[in-house]
Amino acid sequence: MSKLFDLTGKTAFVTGAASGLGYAMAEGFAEHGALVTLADANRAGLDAAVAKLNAAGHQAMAVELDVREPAAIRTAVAGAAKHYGKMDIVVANAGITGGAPISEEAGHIENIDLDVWNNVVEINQTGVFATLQAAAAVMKPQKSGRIIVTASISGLRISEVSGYPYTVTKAAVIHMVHLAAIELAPYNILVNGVAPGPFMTNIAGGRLFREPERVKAMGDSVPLKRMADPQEIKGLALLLASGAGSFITGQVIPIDGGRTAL
Amino acid sequence: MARLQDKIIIITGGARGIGAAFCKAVAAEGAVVVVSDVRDGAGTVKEIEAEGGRAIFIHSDVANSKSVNELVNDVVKRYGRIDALVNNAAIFANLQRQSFFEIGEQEWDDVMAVNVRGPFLLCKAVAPVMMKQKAGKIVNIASGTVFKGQTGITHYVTSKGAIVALTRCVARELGDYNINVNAIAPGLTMSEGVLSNPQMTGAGADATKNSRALKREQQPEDLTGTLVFLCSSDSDFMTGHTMVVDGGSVMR
Repeated sequence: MSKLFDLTGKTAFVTGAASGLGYAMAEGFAEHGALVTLADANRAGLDAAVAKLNAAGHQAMAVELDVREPAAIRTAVAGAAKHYGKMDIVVANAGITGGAPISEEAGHIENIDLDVWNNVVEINQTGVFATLQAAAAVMKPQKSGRIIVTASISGLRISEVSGYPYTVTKAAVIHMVHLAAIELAPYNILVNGVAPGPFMTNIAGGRLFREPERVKAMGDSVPLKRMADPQEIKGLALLLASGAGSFITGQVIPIDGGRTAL
Repeated sequence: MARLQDKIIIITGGARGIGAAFCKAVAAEGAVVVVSDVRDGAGTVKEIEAEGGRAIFIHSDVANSKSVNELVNDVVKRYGRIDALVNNAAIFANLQRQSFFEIGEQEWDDVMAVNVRGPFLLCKAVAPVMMKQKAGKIVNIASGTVFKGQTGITHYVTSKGAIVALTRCVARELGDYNINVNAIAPGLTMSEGVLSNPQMTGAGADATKNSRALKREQQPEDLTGTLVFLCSSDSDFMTGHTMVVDGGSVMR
């Protein structure tokens, strides 16, 4: 069996890792041998996630982190890198929804509260930027690294269920991926994004788990006619983090059941 | 556990170059490879068997529906199913660079017959088998040149643009059957065919290399990880997408 997807001895740092896609990516890396650091603002969720990984025999540690604090991100990434002697993989995953879709009155442009807008920008856009800064700071000197940004198909194509703050910040991080991929390539740092479509995550306060008819409708909206389990992000993240993806950079890859078909 | 254990995978154009690298990569992950080509693919089979892998060669011309149907029927008769199809066979390495004004009708038609009709015929032949299985993976090989509008090989670039479109259409039509259809868009790759054509190397290749974020030549092995991913259950929620693997020349 080939070693294409092996991460033995690699180190990874994932933001928004207490649940959903962030947790799945961290778990996927750990299952392939990586030493993982999980960062999240939710202390209780974070502790449970790390305990679960360690109980499964993986090596995981927790860092309580709010990505609205750029200095704290730098300290956390640098700290994990110092602890393990290097940092191979950083995933800028933490994000929130926010702002109603344009199909609802609350989502009309005049009704978007600037406090809501600013908070989404601070987490989804500035938070990702600060995470990239922190990653580059440790990866440039080591002349290697992989960075993965969790974007969204909302950043690639808008629809009537898109809202301003979320959609615009997800579009912004896609340009961030492209710019960073060019700037960081001479340092052998590869930068890519994943653009998830409908996944069953806790986003929007766990609303999906309370609304089966919404799940059915969202599933039916994609060619594969279903929503995805967070586990299904693992393979793509692994491709982008491992030797299997060593010539992929600057790509934002939809994983969306065929919704965008880009 | 290997990622493609016991999967039955047809790879067209598997006798040499990128196709041969694909065959070896999926065999290393436990797949049973059907190497198909108009050339003799015995060499690829021998290399796979030397590594302890499993492969057979079936001669086939992708541009000919009779030949394609015979290939698919033969595979179903032998193995009872088809888990993945890789539409890799294409006319490229022997092409001469020329203005689109200079491309003759016959040359245009020859490129379209292999590069577009071929994958179309194979999708048509394989889809009923996969629909019955309610499972399957189709991976088409497109090209990064589509997104650049590369000049000098307009027939080739146009044919690969059709592959991006074919991938989208077939993905939407087969989604109900749990069949994933995706494409890989490589950059200029130093396969033995490319290396044997002076027009494909030299200054033109240097310009391509310098257009990349990662400024080095692309090798067939740079594509195998993505192919294994798209043939495996790891990509079960992806369909209709063309993945660019070119060192960051085209960014999407």
